Amino acid sequence: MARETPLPKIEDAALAQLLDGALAAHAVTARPEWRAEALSYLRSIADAATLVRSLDLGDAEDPAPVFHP
Amino acid sequence: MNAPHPVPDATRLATATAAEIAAAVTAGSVTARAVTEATLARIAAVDGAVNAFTDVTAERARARADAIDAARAAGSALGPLAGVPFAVKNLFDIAGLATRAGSKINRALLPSARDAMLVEKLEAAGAILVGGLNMGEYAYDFTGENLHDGASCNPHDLTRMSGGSSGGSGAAVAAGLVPIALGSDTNGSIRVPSSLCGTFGLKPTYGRLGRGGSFPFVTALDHLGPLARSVADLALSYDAMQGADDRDGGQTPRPFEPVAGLIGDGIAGLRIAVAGGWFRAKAMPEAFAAVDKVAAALATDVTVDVPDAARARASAYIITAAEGASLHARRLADRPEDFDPAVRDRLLAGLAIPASWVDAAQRFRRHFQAEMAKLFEQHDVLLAPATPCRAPKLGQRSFVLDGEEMLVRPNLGLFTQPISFIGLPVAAVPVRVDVGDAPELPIAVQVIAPPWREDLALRVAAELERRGVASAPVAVL
Repeated sequence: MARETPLPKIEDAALAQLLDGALAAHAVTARPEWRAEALSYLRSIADAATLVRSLDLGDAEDPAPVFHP
Repeated sequence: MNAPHPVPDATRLATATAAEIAAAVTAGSVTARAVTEATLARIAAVDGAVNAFTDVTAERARARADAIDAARAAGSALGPLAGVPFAVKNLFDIAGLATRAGSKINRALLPSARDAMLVEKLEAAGAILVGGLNMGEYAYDFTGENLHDGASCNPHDLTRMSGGSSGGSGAAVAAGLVPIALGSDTNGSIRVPSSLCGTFGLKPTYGRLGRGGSFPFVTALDHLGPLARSVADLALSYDAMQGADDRDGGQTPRPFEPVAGLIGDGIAGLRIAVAGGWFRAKAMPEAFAAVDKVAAALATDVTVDVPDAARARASAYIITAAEGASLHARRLADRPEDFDPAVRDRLLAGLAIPASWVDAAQRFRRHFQAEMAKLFEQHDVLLAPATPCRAPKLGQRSFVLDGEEMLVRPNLGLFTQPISFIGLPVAAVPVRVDVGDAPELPIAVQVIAPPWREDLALRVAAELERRGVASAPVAVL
């Protein structure tokens, strides 16, 4: 049964670490202005993720990827 | 060059519907070659202002037209789209051209060896490809602007956006350059240009039409479909494009389910409702007025709340950002300077999305699908705005919706994203309402049906067209 479970806002510092780690892991060299823009987009994505994850679907709901065996 | 004859008829037919052109070519009142020449002439005369085309495949089109005329002369049966010119968003493979997908980077790809599946299907039905169309870079766009090729302009007001990412498709159809254009729709990229340019558009059910030979954006959400100036043309082209595609691993096997013979069945017995909640919140008055006009014409006063649409949109946003970034990760590392910055910086953000966020979005997708299925037990069709406003000005960065200043680029799709998120079929129907700024410009309404019921969406769209509520006239240029 779906249940609302409010989650805290993800901290800016955590997002900055996430972004820097991801750029390094993907061997992407980003100029400071690109990074700043990307970080603002990541803020929006993180807020969207908080909204989505705040609905607790339990353990039974299957994800819906594209795969047809 | 063969003399086109009769010339006056062909010139008129260059801005006619596909059904009219096919009927004239089949009857022999005009040759396919004459229609093709008139179409190429109109593109040459008009497209400099509209910038819908990035490639014109003139010689290929002439050869194809001659083959159709020869087939008719030999007494062979012609297809349902005989002699009908069409064009495709430049993420569809066209044999002999690099599939640029709106980008600078892809221009270095080898020319495609084969046409995309849907190009092959339309040509098998007698249609004639005349070129590739402008689009937002890698389809990550709702504006129709493109750093590398320039913006495709709205034919109804050249200072305004065509909408994206299938902006060239909307512009080409609205400008009367072709009667049918193909686009892709991941989060709204057929429905947004249909709304801004005032064309009919069909985003079929996810998995219905084969995507083989099209450059992907987010395979979990990518759909392909037609834009046209009549519902009958949507139906004709949609029927021609159905069928198994062994190049698309995401296609769902379905029987051939033609709709062209059903769109005149009317709406008697259909349970039609207006989508409320999220779909009645953040928009300009003209978006709600358009829905109300359509609802009144269909004699419905039922409004239903679509549960959790905000979460659906958020989930689509996450999946798009993550999968789009994954697709382009290597290019971001190797050629970051060659991206449009507005696209690149969003893709960079997408690289940082944890798998758990994507998984949560995909799990919610299944949940939302089940909730919407319950809604469709009570209703056959839902109505919602296609865009929150008419076409914004080119270069416009923000607008105010319900008192909140919001960015144009991501928010033109705020009503389309929750619907494509679960792959529902939608017909976009363009209407005009005397409300708000620039009332001469069109704005579209989404007619939303349950999965695999494109016929219902198109029946309602056809009824609105028949009653004169929805129409897609060629823009005066």
